[in-house]
Amino acid sequence: MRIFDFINGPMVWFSFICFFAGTLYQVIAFYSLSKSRARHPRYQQKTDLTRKREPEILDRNSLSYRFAMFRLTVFGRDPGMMLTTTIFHVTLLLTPFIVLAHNILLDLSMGISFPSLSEGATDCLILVVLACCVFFLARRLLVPQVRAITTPSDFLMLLMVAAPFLTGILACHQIGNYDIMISAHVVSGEIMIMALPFTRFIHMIYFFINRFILIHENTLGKGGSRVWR
Amino acid sequence: MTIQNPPEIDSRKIREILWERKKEVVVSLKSCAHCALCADSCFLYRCRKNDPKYMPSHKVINSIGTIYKKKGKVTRAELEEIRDIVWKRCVLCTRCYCPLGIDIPSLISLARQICRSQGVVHDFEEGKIE
Repeated sequence: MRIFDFINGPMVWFSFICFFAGTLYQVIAFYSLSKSRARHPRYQQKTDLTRKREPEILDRNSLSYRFAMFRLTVFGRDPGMMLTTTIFHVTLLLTPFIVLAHNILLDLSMGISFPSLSEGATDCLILVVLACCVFFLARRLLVPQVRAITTPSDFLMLLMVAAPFLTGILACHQIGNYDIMISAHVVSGEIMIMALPFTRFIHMIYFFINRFILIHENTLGKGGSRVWR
Repeated sequence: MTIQNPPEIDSRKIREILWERKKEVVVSLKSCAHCALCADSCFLYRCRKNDPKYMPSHKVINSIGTIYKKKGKVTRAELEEIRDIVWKRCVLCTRCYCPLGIDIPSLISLARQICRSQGVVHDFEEGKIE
């Protein structure tokens, strides 16, 4: 069997099995190592009509109070980074599903497909992902606070994310050797999928567990329902 | 007068404490994207002219992160350095904010527990004027 047939056949299945099994393992491990606990009731302002109305800035339901609170959030403190990271994560997760070539391959092999955008539109999305990667790289190298906690694995992570997109767009436009580019695209994509539940990319799973299920100071939603141990 | 040597570091005991909460520590350290967005939430960081040493992520990585990376086999000097991080650079006000939801105060308090188990504690009398 040629190496190209291997990476396009069994290796794809292996990487997806690795991804789903790893994700399942992480979720089961979390539930087996944590226990259920009743959450504390959240503070809610009671509307007492007999009381004198508070100045608008202290009224928790007023727009100016909400805007003042928003400015204290991480979005208000660092809007550039938060906007970039939001756009990056949305395009990163969305683009592989709406690339026309991926959908044609899915249709040919399994008879299913997702809605796809034109090649020009997906090219733009890929360039957005790559531009965000360049932004993160520049931030890592230039901002002293980020540089202080940067390790070589952070650069490896960025490379693992950028590689499938870069090789994909190069292969699509037949820049460089097509066979090498498309093989590199498939292999780098498979490596990223396999690494998701076991490396730093684990934040994709644990973001939701940490923010919505675990009870701590900054739990979102209803306040969480479980604690470690 | 004889000066008593401090007792040896019991790495087995450290591992015992660490292993009890292993998954929590591993997941927290792995989930950290090293984004430094937690920095602004620490009042000490802002008081110390944005010194990166006071960032919550920097404190976690260099305290419990170091202990975990070395599997508890830390020297007394390293543990004393960690003591200075978890007591002098953090007051456990629990106001730090991680966008990814890592419970930073819980990890700092675990590092304090490990230091305490080895008798390496903050000297509250330090710098006191007689």
